[in-house]
Amino acid sequence: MRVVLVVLLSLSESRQEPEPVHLVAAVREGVPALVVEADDGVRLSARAAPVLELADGRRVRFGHAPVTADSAYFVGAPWAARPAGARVRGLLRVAFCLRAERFCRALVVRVELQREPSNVLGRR
Amino acid sequence: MPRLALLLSLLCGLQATDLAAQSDRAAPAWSNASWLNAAGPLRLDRLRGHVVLINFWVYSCYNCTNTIPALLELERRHAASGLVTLGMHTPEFPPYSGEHDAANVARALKRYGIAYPVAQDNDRRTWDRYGIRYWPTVVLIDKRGRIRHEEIGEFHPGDVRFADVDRRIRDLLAE
Repeated sequence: MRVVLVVLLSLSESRQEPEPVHLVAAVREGVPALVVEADDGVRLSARAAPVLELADGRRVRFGHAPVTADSAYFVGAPWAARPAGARVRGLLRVAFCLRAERFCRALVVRVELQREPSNVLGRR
Repeated sequence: MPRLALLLSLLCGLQATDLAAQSDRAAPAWSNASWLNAAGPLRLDRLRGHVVLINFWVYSCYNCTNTIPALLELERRHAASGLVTLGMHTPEFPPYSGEHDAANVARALKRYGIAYPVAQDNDRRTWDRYGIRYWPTVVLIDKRGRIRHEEIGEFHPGDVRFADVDRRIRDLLAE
């Protein structure tokens, strides 16, 4: 699987803590894709699915992954076809909930796709 | 050294005062213009003498919609005794998500059987004034207009947290 490096700069209040979600580039169903991955114990809302607001005004809505029986959360990592253009830069918005919690949080993360090595295998 | 001790005691005193203020502070007024299930905008100062429950929520939040049955039950139990239940609908995402659209909020109210007034807090101004950080958060305001309790997160009729909120409302109504 080809993977690229992504810079994540948080816009949230807790700048000291690593963000619980990550945007990675990969291949899904044979096409270049962007994937929103979450740390263990983090549930991404499927009702308010992640959205990437690109700097050029385009919006990328993530989905395609299976959801829980009540349609509340993704049980796999949601993804979207990678938008055309060499550079991916913008704001990633996610609504999520920690497994131990019973409330929603919203997070905005600045993302920038720096480079896409052609010969990198494995995951970041 | 005595100066240091004095400084520390002053700092501790200030901290204690701040914490007390946070737990029993005047509820900020709101100025939301768009209300559903109401003839017009409601004002906090017109609700003095009532216990007010404000539910900060958004229809796309799973934990929020799970909490609605508990709020309806609290309203059923206590409205006649002076509890006023309000919703403050605060979007998580920008307007393109549809969360800012009054028609979508109205559909959600119908779907979940919500008949109490709900304000649209599309600019998050009331959310910010109350210092809310999570969906859902329930705020209880006493008859004098002071915030007496904040309940963060989902709860359900019959669970421990519901019982606690129910008791707090009864206590506030009895004051």
